[in-house]
Amino acid sequence: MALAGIHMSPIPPLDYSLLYHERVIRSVANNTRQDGQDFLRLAAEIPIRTEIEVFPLGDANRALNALKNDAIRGAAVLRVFQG
Amino acid sequence: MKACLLDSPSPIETNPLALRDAPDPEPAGDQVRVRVRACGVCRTDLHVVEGELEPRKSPVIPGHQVVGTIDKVGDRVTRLRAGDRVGIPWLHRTCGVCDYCRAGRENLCEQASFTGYVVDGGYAEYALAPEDFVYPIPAGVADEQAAPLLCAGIIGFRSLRLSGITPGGRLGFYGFGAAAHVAIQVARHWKVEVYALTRDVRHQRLWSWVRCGPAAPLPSLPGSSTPPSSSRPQGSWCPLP
Repeated sequence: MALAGIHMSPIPPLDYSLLYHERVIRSVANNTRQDGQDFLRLAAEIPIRTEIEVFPLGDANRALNALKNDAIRGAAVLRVFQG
Repeated sequence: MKACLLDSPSPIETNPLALRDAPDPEPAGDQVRVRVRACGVCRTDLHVVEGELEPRKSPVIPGHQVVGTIDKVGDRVTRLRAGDRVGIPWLHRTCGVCDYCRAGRENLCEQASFTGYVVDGGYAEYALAPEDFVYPIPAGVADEQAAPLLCAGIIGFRSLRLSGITPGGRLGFYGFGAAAHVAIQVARHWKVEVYALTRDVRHQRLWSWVRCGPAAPLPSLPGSSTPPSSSRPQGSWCPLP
């Protein structure tokens, strides 16, 4: 199991039997540039689509509030300069 | 320039980010200046804004999924030039000489700086980044579409790798948000059987989109109409076809 959050609430206790048999729980910290290069190459090849909700720059608080309340479908994006 | 600045962390309900004028950043040395067109909003930004991560710069401009066009370069920039479209990610700079960096594990560099946290990020009209730490953005991907790839995408990809999943294997997502909706596309590309565990039906709306495409009607939100017939009770696994 790989946990990708940079911050999480405390992890509750679990029965050791769930971890026994050499099961692994690990965190994921940041990424290397190689990760980014490999992923973006693959993203173009697949190609990967993203579902986004666009907000103007001045609505950053509103976008983050929506994210906190699970009201974003996909990813929120701030639009800054256009054209 | 216009920028969203965080003076001190506080709950997002108090609107801690203030849109105001800030000096245009000037690129120096190996830095490029990016005229920002789009910046993804990440849960890490929320942790920065609300103070769940210890403040490293104040005021700070959040945002680490930055897509834009280089408009100015420092005097030691050699490869990139004005007009290039690039992305600025979370990993802003590493030392390049520590044990981690030399072992190919620069993500763990103890001197690393991070965009939108240790240095100013992309909730602004302009942002700076070292030439060697920005990515070219694939042609044909719109700015707003590309922005979530820079953290939700990359960190999800690293997580897939670290999970040890292999083609033909079975994968479970705990929660299904921005990162998972990208990672599932990689997993399917790798012919992986995918399951997801979500807190409620709103999260299942997203995998419905992934499964059926953006043209497909999305299930309605709970309370507003009947939940999608494909939804499962809270706490159960959903196989994703």
